[in-house]
Amino acid sequence: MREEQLEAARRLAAAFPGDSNASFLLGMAYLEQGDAVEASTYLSKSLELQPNRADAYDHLGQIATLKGENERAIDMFRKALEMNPQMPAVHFRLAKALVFMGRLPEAIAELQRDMEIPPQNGESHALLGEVYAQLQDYAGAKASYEKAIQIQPKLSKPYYGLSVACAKLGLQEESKQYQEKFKEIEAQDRQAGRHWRQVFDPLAVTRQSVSHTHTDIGRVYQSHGRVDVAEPLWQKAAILDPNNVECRFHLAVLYEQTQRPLDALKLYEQITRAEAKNGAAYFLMGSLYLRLNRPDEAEKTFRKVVEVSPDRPEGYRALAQLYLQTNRNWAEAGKLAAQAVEVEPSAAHYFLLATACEKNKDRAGMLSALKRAIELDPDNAEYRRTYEKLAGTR
Amino acid sequence: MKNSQGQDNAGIVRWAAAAALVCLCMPRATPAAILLRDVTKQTGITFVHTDGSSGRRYIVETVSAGLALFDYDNDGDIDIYFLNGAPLPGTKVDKPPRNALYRNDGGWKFTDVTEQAGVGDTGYGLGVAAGDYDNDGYQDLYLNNFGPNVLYHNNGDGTFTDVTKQAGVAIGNHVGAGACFLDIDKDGDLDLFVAHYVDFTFETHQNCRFNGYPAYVGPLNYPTTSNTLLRNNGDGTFTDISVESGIAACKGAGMGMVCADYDNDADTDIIVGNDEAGNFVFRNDGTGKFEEVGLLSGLAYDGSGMPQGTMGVDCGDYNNDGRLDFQMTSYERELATLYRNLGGGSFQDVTKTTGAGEGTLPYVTWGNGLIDLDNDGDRDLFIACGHLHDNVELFDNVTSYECKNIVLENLGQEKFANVSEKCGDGLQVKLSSRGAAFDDLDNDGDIDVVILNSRREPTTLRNDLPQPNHWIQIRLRGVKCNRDGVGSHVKVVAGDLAQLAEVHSGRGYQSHFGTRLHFGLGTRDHVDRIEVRWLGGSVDVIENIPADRFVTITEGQSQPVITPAAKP
Repeated sequence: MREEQLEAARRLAAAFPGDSNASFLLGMAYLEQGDAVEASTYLSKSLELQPNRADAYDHLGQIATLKGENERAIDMFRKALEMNPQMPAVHFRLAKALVFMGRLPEAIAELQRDMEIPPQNGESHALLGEVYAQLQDYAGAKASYEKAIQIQPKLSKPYYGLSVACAKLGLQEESKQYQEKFKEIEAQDRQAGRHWRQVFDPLAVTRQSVSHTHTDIGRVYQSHGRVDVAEPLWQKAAILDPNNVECRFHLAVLYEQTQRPLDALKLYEQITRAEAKNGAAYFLMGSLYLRLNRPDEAEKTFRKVVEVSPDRPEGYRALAQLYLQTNRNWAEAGKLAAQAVEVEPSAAHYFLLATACEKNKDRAGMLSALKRAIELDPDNAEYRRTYEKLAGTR
Repeated sequence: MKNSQGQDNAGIVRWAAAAALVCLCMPRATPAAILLRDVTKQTGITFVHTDGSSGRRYIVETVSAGLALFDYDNDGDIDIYFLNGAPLPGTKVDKPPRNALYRNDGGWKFTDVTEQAGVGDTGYGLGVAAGDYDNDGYQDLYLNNFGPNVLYHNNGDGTFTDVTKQAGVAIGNHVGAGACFLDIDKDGDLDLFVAHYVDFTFETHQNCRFNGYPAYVGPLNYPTTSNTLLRNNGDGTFTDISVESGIAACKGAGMGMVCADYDNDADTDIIVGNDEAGNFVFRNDGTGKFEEVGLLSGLAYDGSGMPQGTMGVDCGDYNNDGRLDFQMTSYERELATLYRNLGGGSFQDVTKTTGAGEGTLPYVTWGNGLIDLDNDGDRDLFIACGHLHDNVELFDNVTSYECKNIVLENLGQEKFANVSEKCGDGLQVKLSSRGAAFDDLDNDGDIDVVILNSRREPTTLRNDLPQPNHWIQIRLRGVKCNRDGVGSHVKVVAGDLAQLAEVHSGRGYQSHFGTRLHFGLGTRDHVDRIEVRWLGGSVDVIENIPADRFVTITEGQSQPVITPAAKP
């Protein structure tokens, strides 16, 4: 299976020798095989073809770190950050390489930059604590470790660091408490490690890895207009990993575009089985039911969108539109439109609310919503036309 | 005060000052003075290690084995004892492999005397310690096997007798690891600590696959075990006191170990490296009762608070501050770690700030020694490397099964530099090393190296020190203390240089070496003062000794026996 993965990536790189993504994916396929040497070659090639690839620099930096080549790792991470200063985790990786070199003040600066990029990571604060401890700034270390456990209370390292820092600061009782907590979490980690070893399924891991490579390779073929090659790759990816949602999305969209809606529906069902809270999949499935003129199934599916993604407007909007288009449940449509506005107060949602208000004979509500839609999108001719038409009538 | 980015200006100034200070304190760059020549072929050593493997990948195959450098015939030169594996299920051999003793005949010639010495154990060898448990003046051998262990009593006439049964030290069917002789209660005889790896049997054997390739499982796949402490009864027998001493209360996956007075309270403590678990530090209360204080000491986990796959454990005072520091080797993607002794039984991981782990990250590291390879008066680091998966390159070519070993030169001022590529052909050998042992094999005053390589011939490295630095080597003769002075401290003062060493029995990766203490002196041509703090409390002081001598100090006697170096 690993050979198949590599072969697929090799074929891609041969088919599109000038495509940076193709070289990058071949490099990543080699990395998946544990072949860092060949991986470096193709990641470098991807950079020759597209010198602003932060992802390639980042991976080259990670390989250099594993090889203990810290100077090179630092160079690669810095280049990645030149391309994309907000790239998650790269400041952290750079800081680690600097720590390996004993360049602690530089590491502190990188960690501080890392912390400005969300989401916050307990590991960064723990490493900062370690650096402060190395510099014998135990008050600084304590503060950083405390922040780390605030973010990730199950991370064992900061408790260890806190036990040491507190002891150095003369806080013996606190030190003892953190020591006990460290022991407790470390024992849990060990137990989890033992359990993981018992249940670890290397074949499943390989299948996932190959599946993701096929998905990515398919995307590159698609970008070159070769959906005929992309489709079987995504199909293979779907067979290999029942939880690979991305390849299923690609296939479903392709099937919708090529008039194979029932096949697309099957894929959306698979996605929602793999990810029961995937609101986007339910939304696309509902929209497809509508196009297939199956309003009852569409309604049921849009209700699911509202259930799993209550913070998103799509479900409320789609259901409201469905009721308005099928001339039923107008009152419910009004409530749903209002919820869509609440979640995302956009011009389109105000217009939808206005339409629902009109159906519900709520003239004041209608005019108010229309006014708001026009305020938000003053160039929209349809809103203006509708307002002018409805404002003049009684 | 905060700047426009919300940063604390005072903090920035503080760190800028720290950075400037670091630059100012950078030690001078000096050319490498360490030269280790590969003389394996001229030694006449024909030993080849086997791990007994047949492709079934039993976990024990990965951890075999250590070796011992000791003077078995008291002729003044250091002999070599190699441990060997044994055929495991699935392996058939015509002649069972055995351990081998090589007598040092001088001139880098060694003769296999296994047969006549009677030390050719065919058990599955993992760890070894040499120690004169009956104080008769000859070092005996203890073998820590997978399966029953063995105690060979040195008869003093070039032969040994297997006294395992009458001594009561076979212990049982454990997977062995390091072993150390030590005097837990300062009663003048050597007790015995025996480390165990994991609770493995052929029936509970597991293996796994990485990227489809067959691989060995790690220690977390098996239950942990407790270690064994045996008290010397003084009559040639030992009693298992693991429970009452407090040792049995802790379970781990023991590997290399060393017994040393880590807290400088004049008794011998026990430090056991654990594979993928916190290391043990058993603090001795002075009477042979122990409390595990690894976490408290700072030696259980690395500076990040992570447990390492610890392999070898050695100690020595790398910064000449009068305290024993510790160095531990570890698994791939972990740095071999140096812990500085801060005093009061407390340690700090200084690997990253000193550079003492440089070059080790991609490799599994095993045998280790904190030893002065260039006789400049500070201790360098030798680290033996080699992966445990013989096919690792197929699924991870950042590392390799066979690889070069590493030498880190101590530059002083708390800095080490990886000088492996400048150390001569001895560091160009690429094999899968396990145990490493260090001593002056040709009695020319510098430390040579012998490495046991998994599934291959050992490597012997001759130190051809290009600079004529001075040195002194000291052998202790205990009277009230145990005969070899195991656990005693020796302080050597030469002008501005003061160094500390302790006599150990069993250290590094499941190996034994260094009974005769070695001190590099740099350009100092004599030693002002040698102070011996015997285990038991008595102190002897010897003054004004010329450099480049072998000195034997007998407890309570003011006149040492001094012998010059061998002629080149």
